[in-house]
Amino acid sequence: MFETPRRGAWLLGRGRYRWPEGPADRFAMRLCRRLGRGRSWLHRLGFVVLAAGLKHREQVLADRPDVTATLSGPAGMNVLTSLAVWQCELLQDPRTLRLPRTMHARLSVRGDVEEMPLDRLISLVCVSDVFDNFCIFWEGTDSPGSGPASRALEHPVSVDRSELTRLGLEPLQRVFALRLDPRRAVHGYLKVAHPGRLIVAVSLPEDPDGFCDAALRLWAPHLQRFQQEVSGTSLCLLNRTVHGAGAVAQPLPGVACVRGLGLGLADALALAQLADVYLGGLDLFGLAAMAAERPGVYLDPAATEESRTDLLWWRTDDSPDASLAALRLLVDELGRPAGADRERA
Amino acid sequence: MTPRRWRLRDLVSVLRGLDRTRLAGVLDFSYQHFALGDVLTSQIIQSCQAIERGCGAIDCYVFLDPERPAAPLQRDITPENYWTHLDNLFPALLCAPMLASVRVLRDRLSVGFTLAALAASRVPTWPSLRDQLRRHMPYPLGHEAINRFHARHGYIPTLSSPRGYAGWARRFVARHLSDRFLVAVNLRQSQLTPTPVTTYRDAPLAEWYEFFRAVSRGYPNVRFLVLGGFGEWEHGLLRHDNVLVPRAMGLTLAHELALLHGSRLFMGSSSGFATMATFGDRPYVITGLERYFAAHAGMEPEAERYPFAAPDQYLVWRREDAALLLEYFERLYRTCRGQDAREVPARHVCADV
Repeated sequence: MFETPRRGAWLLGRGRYRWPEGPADRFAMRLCRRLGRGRSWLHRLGFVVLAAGLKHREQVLADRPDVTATLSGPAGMNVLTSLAVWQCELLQDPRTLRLPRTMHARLSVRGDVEEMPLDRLISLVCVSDVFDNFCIFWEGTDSPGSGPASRALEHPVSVDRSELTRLGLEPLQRVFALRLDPRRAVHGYLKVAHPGRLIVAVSLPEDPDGFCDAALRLWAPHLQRFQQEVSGTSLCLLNRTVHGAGAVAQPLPGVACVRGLGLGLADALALAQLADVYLGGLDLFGLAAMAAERPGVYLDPAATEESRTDLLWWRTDDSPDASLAALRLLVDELGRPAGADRERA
Repeated sequence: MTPRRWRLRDLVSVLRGLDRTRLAGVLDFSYQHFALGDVLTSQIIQSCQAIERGCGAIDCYVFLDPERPAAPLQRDITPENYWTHLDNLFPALLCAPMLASVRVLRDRLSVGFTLAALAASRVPTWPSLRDQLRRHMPYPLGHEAINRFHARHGYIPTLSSPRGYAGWARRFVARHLSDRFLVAVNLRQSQLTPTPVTTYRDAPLAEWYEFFRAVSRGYPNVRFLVLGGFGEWEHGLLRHDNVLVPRAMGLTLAHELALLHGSRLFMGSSSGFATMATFGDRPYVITGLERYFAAHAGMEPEAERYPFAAPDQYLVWRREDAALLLEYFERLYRTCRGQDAREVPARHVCADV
């Protein structure tokens, strides 16, 4: 498309450069940045004029800075997982610029918009380090300049081991960038509530609103028994639940429902990355745990065979009994924290 | 493949291509405040301007400069944590009537391009392009434009449940709080947050607790939804059997605003949630207003309500106590029950007294 930059070619008027490597573009970028920092309205005006020209050059010359997705159903766990996988795929696209923070995402929301809460989707975008700009257009509104939709987020997405290998670790780590506030909140919580214990982050299937109460009814007795029998461990539930909200439902003994303790989705993703062990499916939390290479029992009922790689155990049987039996073995292998036996006695 | 070329005339053509029938509401956090009340007030002012200028929709532009993520007043918001604040505040952007799109731009070039395009296309904007260049926004945001709109048209645009959450709120209430009389309350407690400011405006908790106990005895079917940040409520609040804290279920500001919109009435301190009630259609009582704000709101100090308010929307200019809260609660409760009886005579009305 363009020739390789050559020293002096620009001065002779013969240079052809990739965006934004040309000397003129680089100078203009630097000037634009300086003007943007200025405090007077004249600085600001100069910044606007220069930035407009540079942005247009980027739109014309750069490779694929804008990406588009559609959403026509509730932003449940499948949609969130799909968004994470999509970001990984974008980072692996050879046409994607390698500079940090250069992609501009457009999300077109269609259908019954009153039944489509977007809070968790926005949280995920805020956690991610992939998109520079993020625009949401509701049905019937134009998204100027957008091309054909490249991703329908509501389509079912299944992540398995082979898919994880394809996605790669580095893109996952950019999608689940560990931000400062969530990291601080999680460490603060763990130090106060579970000092010295082995932390197991648990993710259960959710309803479209993000509550796991249906699955929790099945899992709660098993989790409580595990917590009693395997001393020195703390089970931290990453999903929303009604337990602990006062007038609606009482707190659940033996399981820390962290979303009701002031931790939001970004914090729960950080907890999945900072916990000692992960237990759950390859959903959004599972991907976050994988990004941090956490040991765990990853449930993958669609897989044909079970396997284990070091401390990553892949289980096809996602029943509570089988999953927790595997977790018990893994915890034993990891070694429980000092003092656990004393506590049990 | 033909090399792509950049031409100035293409740039001019693109810059002039925006739709003039849509108002651009700009939130540039390098000088505007990350604050719930200010964002909601901005949206109502934008809606008033959009209607008066004949615009059919509002595009919300959020400008974020990673080097200057917040106004100088909000020094606790830094390049490292501004995304957390945006994540927390984003639901407020979804309450605006006529909202067509939200565009979060943190790429410097995109921000400049957008401002140039808004100017070149002569798109109606709020704040004006002149104010945006000067990074000028007077705080506290006054109600002058809103009062003017009300005087001309006899109504004001109202905030709604955040887009996408009305259905959720209906389902939530039906599942957990059916047949309850829901009262949304906000007890401002800045002193319990990591960045306490103007703590003299905080609600007197002991008075509120006494009020909750009194209502529990006299009106057992009433449930209070305590809104506000997770840090803004005391642990003992959960022991009140008529109190529900949505944040203790992992819910967010979006859910709280939807529940506020779905409640029968609102009671609380002058704060961001009170702004949501101010520009809504539910009965309310807002306590602890500061006298200096009267001039910004275009009314006399001690006025009983805003110029655009409905008869059952009250302001109280002094610090609340349990007796005052109970008095206003009973007044608003009777009004709501009277409306129930008038609107749907055959409907089952909870015999809760």
